[in-house]
Amino acid sequence: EKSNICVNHFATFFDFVPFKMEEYELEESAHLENLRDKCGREEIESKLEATKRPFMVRFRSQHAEFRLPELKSLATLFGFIDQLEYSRIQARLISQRREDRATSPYLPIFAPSVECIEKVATRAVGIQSFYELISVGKTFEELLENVKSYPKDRMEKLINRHTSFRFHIDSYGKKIPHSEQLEMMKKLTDSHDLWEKGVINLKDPSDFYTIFIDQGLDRNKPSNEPRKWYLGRKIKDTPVELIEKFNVKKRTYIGTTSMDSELSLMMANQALARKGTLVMDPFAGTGSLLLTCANFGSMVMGGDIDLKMFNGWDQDRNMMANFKQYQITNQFIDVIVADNARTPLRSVPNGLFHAILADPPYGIRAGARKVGKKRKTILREQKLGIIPAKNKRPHIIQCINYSVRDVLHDLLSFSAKMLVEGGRLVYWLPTTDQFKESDLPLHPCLQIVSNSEQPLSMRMRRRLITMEKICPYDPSLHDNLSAEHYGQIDLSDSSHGNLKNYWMRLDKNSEEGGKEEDAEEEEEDEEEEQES
Amino acid sequence: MRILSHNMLMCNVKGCGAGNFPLRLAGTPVQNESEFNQEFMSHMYSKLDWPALKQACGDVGITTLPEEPPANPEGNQEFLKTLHDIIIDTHIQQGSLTCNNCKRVYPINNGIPNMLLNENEV
Repeated sequence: EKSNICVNHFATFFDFVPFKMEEYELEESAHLENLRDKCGREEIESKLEATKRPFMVRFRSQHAEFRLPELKSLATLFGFIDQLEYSRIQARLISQRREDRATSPYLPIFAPSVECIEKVATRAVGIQSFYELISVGKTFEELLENVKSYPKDRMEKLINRHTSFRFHIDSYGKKIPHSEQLEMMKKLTDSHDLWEKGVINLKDPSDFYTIFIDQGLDRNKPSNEPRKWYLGRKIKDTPVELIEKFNVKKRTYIGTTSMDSELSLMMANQALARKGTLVMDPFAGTGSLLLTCANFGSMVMGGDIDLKMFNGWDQDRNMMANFKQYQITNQFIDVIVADNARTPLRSVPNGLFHAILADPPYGIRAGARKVGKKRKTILREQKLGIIPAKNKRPHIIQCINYSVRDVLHDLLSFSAKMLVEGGRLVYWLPTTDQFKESDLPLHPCLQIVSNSEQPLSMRMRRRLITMEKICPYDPSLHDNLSAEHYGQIDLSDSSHGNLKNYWMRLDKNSEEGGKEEDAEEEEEDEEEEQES
Repeated sequence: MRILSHNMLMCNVKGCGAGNFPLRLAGTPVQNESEFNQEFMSHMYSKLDWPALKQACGDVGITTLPEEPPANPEGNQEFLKTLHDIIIDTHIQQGSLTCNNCKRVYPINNGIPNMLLNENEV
């Protein structure tokens, strides 16, 4: 009952509606809401609400579109996604990356307990800190007034701890002059026994209270009035050292394609990496995606078409050396030299991997290749009547251009087959500023969980797509899907805007990448011809 | 390459159909102790092809594998530990995987199996 009072205390400010995992879109469906009302909203919610506490999530400033997906993935990982609640309007604000739209780094949420929050805090990368939410107001005066309705038993507990505290002002969108800050802190101190009779310690306080002022950046509606005021007591900071630990600059073995620390950690969170699971990266390269998953306890496997990536420069600078550096060699299962277009992994009933991560080499920095005979070779062989003989010396395998669409097709069908049910595919998709939902590759066995954009340049973007396997793979149904089932876009269709040009350019790059090897091949082929 | 990976690999040469799994294993097994994780081993047990595992053990001279898995394998810690010793802790550093069907040989060097096919095999 006491917790219910606490909940009602905030209800008027937040327009709370329960948010379900299946809806990755932030838009509310009026029809669904209507059904919920008809089912007796009070009845459904009262069971859940009694166990929930209000918190403030203070996000880091980067990667806005990745914030909510990461929070939800971690809530799923720690088993409280169904009890996680927040305002959709605020959720949209915090997810906003574009400069011409309103944005915010503050998200008040309801979650079951402090323990849940602390668990999330051990590995959340897009979040700076978690706070217990004490009060909310449209003005500073309202904020102070509402402190009075904070549940009395909780307040008593805080007072009886007799611990030291300090205040902090966290203002977004407007710099508050120091004198004003001091005034606010003074008024807050005077407003309640907890602080008036408490001990201030600026250097090393036990309790850290923050006044959040959401001034907000909203170019469309410039205003001097803050959107909202919040007051929180800090529970936990997220580990900055984790991001530093995986800093690529400090890593023993890297390549041009090594994923940066923050993003590879986020991918591991999206993949729900944890002890007892097996994850796979079919384009492993230097292993940057596997390292963070291994760090969180997953056992990892990798594949790559290029043996040189695994072997690296020498024994001390190769993929294994990275696992040694982070002391996660125990998590390393194997790496296999293989072509993902023709995987040597057998089908396992009910899937094998809990997660598949991929940063496919689309031809941006590294040409995408698969094994196959170049057309000119096939033609020449036909013309000269050459029958390919058994190779006498180590053979350098010819690779051909692997188009973006084929990479995606193979990746999705590989994931549909090899993931366990509930397992996740987390991969990067190259897109443009003219992105549309219909640009996303699909598969009947996989459901889209999230989709976060990272800008690379004005036009070029990439999106981190998370998909979840929702039904078993049935060869009789899924082996020969049509292009529509794969959501394969028809690049000749102009409705995909400049995506067509972008993907064609990537396909061309991967062809260009093969041209260097072409020159080597030419030499070898001439030798072979002379021999035969 | 761990014995576990052998259990997952098949021959994918174009036209190589039945009999492309399991592959025959050749090489000297090396033991390398690692941490045991019950949950993971339980998951892996349910994914293993037992006849393929027996064949692999026979091929490289591992004698510790029981003939048949016990009654409640996922709960039997002793069994899972024995299994862990075989499929996780046993490595083949140098050797090969050979397809029973088309006789294609895939080399294992430095513990990494090379499953790449030649252009005329795809």
